Amino acid sequence: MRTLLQKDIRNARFILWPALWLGVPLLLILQFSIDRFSFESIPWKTAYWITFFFSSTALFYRSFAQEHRFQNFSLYLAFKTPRWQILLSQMLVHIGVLFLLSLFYLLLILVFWSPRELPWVHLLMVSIFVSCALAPFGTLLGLMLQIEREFLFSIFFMPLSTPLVLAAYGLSEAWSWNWMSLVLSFLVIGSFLSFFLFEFFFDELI
Amino acid sequence: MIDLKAQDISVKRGDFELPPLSFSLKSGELIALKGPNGSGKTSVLKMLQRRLRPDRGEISGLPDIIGCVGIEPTLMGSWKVSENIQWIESLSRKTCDAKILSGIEHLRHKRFDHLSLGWQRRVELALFLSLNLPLYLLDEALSPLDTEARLSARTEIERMKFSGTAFLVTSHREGDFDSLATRVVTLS
Repeated sequence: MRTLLQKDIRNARFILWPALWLGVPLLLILQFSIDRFSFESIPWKTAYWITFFFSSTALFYRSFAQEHRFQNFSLYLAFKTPRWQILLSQMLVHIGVLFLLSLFYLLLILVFWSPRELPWVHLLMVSIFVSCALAPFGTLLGLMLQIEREFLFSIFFMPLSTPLVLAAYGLSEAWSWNWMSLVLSFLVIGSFLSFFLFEFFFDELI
Repeated sequence: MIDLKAQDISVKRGDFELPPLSFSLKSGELIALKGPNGSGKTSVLKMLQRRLRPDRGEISGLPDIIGCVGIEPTLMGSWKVSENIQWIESLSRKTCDAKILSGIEHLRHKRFDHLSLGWQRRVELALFLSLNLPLYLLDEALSPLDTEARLSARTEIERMKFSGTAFLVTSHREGDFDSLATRVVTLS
């Protein structure tokens, strides 16, 4: 497990940069999108969560694309590496990279929106909480859609993650049990589905 | 100890169908799979590698860890050779034999995808053979090698075969494994 984790951390740069390249221009476009009646730009919380979720598509798709490119699946089969370890390692690294992304996007929010107050700790905690719920589901979808084109990933991923986007926005306003239970449901259902379906899609892919 | 048995294994993929094939492989044996392109040699190796499920028949006696060279590229292109060695060692939980790796010592600090195809194959062969695994599947593993490297790899395979390692190999080149083969299985 430690070996897989080290490998995924080492390869994390291949997923962090594409995610940032997708997220940063989007954040800037949103900043420059001004309502022509009120001359106000899009609220920073909306911009933050849209960017966070949209750039995560590159992350989830590309981590398995790396595995696929280097034919690591063949190696895992030849060495009988347990599938759950591959999944868990990927999920943990995804959570870590999502945290780095959220940190970076919040810095950009601070620069471009200059909000009166930015509750850093609260937003980072919500981001980690949401990342934990997003990771199992995104990791599974990343593996499932590996044989398809990358742009198809967003088409499947964004509608499915819409409730989570709403919950993330709601939680960034204030902790609320309703939104938390929605995120927790994603976490439980996503983890359950990932652990049970990962092996099937892994075998399908090879 | 290896006591591998393949009983009437066959597979169908699109228009291609591998007719039922049976063979057994024990420690210290080398089976050479022969046949023209498209006869199913790689499919047989992929079934043993657990990459392809046979439609019929069964395979028993496969060890947990199998050394595969040539079926697919197996090392990380963007990593240095030394990083790949560490990765394979820790994934297989085995230690590489430094004597076998001495031939690629000067490449340790180079990125794997910056090496020529021949050197990539030499690194793969040296790395996997140095793990001293009980079973190896070699698919045209010596093809990209020059004469000197081919002879050196062949000598190492011969030494390992006599010390009890089992090999299943494919090669189109006459003389690569002919004198080493315990049996030749021909696919038509």
